Amino acid sequence: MKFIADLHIHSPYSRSTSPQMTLPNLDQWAQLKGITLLGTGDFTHPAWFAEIGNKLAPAEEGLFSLKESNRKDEEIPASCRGEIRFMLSAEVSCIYSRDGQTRKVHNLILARDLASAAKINEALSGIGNLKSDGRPILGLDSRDLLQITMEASPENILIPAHAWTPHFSVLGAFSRFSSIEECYGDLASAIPAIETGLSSDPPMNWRLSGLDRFTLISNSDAHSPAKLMREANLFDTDLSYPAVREALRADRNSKTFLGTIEFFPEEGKYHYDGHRSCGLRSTPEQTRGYNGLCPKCGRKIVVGVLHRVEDLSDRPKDHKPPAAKPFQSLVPLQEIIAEVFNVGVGSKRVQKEYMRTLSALGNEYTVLTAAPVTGIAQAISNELAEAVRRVREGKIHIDPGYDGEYGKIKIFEPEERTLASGQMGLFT
Amino acid sequence: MSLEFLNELNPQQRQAVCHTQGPLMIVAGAGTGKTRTLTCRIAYLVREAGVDPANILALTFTRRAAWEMKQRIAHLLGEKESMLQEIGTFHSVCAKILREEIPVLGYDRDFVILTDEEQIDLLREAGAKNRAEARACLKQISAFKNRHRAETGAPPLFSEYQAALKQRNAADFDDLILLVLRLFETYPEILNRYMDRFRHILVDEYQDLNPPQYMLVHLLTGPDQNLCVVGDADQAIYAFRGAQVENFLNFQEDYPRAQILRLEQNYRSSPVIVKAAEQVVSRNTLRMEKRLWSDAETGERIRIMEVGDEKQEAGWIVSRIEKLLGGTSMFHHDTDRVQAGEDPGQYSFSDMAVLFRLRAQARPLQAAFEQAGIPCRFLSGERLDRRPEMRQVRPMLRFLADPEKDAVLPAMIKASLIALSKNREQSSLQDLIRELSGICNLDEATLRSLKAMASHYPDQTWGSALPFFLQDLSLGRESDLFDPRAQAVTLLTMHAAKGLEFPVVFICGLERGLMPYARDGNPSADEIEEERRLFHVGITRAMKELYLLHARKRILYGKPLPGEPSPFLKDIEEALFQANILQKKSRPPQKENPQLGLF
Repeated sequence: MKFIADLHIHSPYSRSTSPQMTLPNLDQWAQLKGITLLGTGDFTHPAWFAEIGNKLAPAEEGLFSLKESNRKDEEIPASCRGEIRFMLSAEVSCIYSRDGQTRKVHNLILARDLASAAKINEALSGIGNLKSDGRPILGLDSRDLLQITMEASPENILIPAHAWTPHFSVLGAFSRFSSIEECYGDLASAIPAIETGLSSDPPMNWRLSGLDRFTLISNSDAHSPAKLMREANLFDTDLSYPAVREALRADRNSKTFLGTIEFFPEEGKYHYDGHRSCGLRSTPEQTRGYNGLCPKCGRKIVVGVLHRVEDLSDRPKDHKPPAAKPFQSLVPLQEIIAEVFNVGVGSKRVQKEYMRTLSALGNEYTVLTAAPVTGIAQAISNELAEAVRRVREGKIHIDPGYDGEYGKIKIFEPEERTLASGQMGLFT
Repeated sequence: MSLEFLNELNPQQRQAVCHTQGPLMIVAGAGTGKTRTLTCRIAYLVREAGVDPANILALTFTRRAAWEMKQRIAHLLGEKESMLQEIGTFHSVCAKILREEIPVLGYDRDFVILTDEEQIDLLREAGAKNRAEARACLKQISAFKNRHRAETGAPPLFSEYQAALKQRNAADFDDLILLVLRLFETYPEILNRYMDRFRHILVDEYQDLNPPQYMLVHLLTGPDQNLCVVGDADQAIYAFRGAQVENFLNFQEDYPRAQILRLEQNYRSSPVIVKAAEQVVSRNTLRMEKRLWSDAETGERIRIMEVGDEKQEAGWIVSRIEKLLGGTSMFHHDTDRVQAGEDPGQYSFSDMAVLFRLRAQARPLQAAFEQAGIPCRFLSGERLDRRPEMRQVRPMLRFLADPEKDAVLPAMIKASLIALSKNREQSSLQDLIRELSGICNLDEATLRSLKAMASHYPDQTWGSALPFFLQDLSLGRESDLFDPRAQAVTLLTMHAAKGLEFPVVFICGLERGLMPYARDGNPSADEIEEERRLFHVGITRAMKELYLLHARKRILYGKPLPGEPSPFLKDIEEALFQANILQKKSRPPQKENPQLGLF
């Protein structure tokens, strides 16, 4: 079957994560979004692991579902309801030095079953403290983490998380590994995939021939429920851990992994270079012109994802490897609605309109990709229909993100709005 | 035959290495390449002077130092495994001698080494009224033994305790050395055998020898006087265990033929740090003239931080470490706690250490690290058998090693253990420990510790490995348990830091009353000198960056300290440091996830 999977999220036990990330809420929000398979996040945290054991029940091989008693089906519009499955996932922050340099790499781990996850937890609790953060910081070489993961079960999977972000990733500007192999050494062949992160999309990754053998996956890394599925994966295989694992490991010509749902990379927090505190946003070219130093404060400019890709790439910009997987670039529906109303994304009005849209048209994925534009116009508004159409066609303007600042999406030009209300007057 | 390693030594080091006959004292300041010199010397003895490795005895203060020396020598000699059998601590070498020779003293070869707890039980049987009294007695007995033949008489219950030990076929930690002394003094033929065997003796940390250890070395030193001692009077910090720095200073009187060589070039620390260390310790009177120097780059100035209290002290250290690593979580970048573009540099957690005077100071530091999620480990230097979890397991392991022995164990557990014994020649130590955890519900930490220790015996049945394993547990220290793959910030007392080095060192609690530590009232002049040496040891652990912290307010064991900076800080000249004052609440309280504290 075809389904959407978002495998990297966090629990409330992780820093700066919303207390709303409970298992019942996740189950509910996955349905609103159109996700079928969701990572549990944070299985390394003892309290969250216990909660997983209590609130989830075994479903298909290696997967889990929320126990009936915890479900909130009545709060979910009938148009969105679906069966959600969970897969054991966790993220570990490895901070260590190798060859005289500090390395900071985040790694996503998918565990075969509860027993394998427990084994990983046992081994890691001998390395560091798993209790103080759902995404534990360990002074462990990524290669050794991979070894511990694979020793717990050869079917476990380790995936370098948001592989390009500057501060905490394998290929990022600060960790200074120039290939997956350099980081994971003799064990690198056990890695089936890399997570491309919000600030890069598949075409950027296609520019490195060294990445051809990896499945390029995308996940939300959500810290609050509304952020689920801002990036995700499309599978066409059986709903089970072994089938998902096989799909990630399969040859690129296989049709079990279909591709990814992507952020526009410009919207990501580290697409361009820059200095947030100085308000400096620079393209890779400009940064080189500044010799890497901020013209305002003189310190090093934070080198973003696009720049780093250019530094490591061995192919031109438009290269597309054979059998590259397709992808769809989307803007989260709540952001689109916020743009339509010209209000903040967290406002009540946006939430209300979001739920109204889902009730009328189906889950968010359907609204964003499949619902006919005319249908959206009839059920909700002309403005939303037009906005979705522009997003689908990629006809939007984005001020690229840099140094931790998200990119700013603009779907409508200021002159398209009526002066009086600041709202859309285009079609009225 | 390759003696290439000689080329990498400085002239003084080379002289020490090539001196192969007669008594030699190497006065080695902190960070002057002492271990390298010692290991090269042993390699040279084997390679060039043709000494049979079996004829070399090297005595170290810690198991870690012994292990490190073995590795380095094997490497120098191009061997996979070191041929040297006798590199070890005083206690482990003595335990080994006793396993061979002890029957003449009326003990069995499989005598047991008691834990603290067992010693206390024994004292209670010997007549101590309660545990507190037993503990006090034990302290006196140990002090008495470590001073060996002190003029003062034996403490109360001494003879009863010794009789009980013997009756149990048991020895305590201090006895290991005393029994060997008795053995050698009573049976000259046995001493001669060992003297003949150990023709070359090397002793590390000579300034820290207590009288029994000192006597043992001198008994064992044969007529050729091939005795090489290494040490540094400025790093003598074990007077409280009976060590006598005078032994070190009197070496030439003991061995008039002795040559004395000085290693003074420091390769570890920046010149700023070396200078500060010298300025502090040169105020002492009881020392041997030497001048440490370094020709490395000048280095960063030392930072002296005045903080409000111990909480702020811990918080500042944690945030400094985060900064040195260029931020440890997105949080630091999102909140600008770390400057954008700040280079994460070269450090890892294991490059940093926080030093303090007393173990009691560890708690607030641990809490701060835990809260920040930064891996740290407290290296208390504690003996393994003092850890509560080991107390639970040892009686069972002992019973398994020798079911004939009387053991205070519930009958149910005994029965299960007897059932387990059937596998003694089939299954491994790891299997045994797994089985044990089923019988008595070992907690996770204990299980992990035991498994780490057992991993040294992968290919043996537990039947054959158990006696050695028990001895490991008796002589081991908790540092033996750490997973070598795990990098973490090290928290440790200045005593435990001896022999270690770290690129970045924080020393905290540098206040009057704590440094020098005033146990009760005013420390004596001798005690102040010892404390100053301790501070010198602390400073010289740092390679690149040194932070010295003192607080305006601190409660120690329930009593407030005066809150004045340590007088030792005044000995460092102003050009070497930068002083900062941290006002209370200079940083807004962190807004973090409220759940974090709960678990």
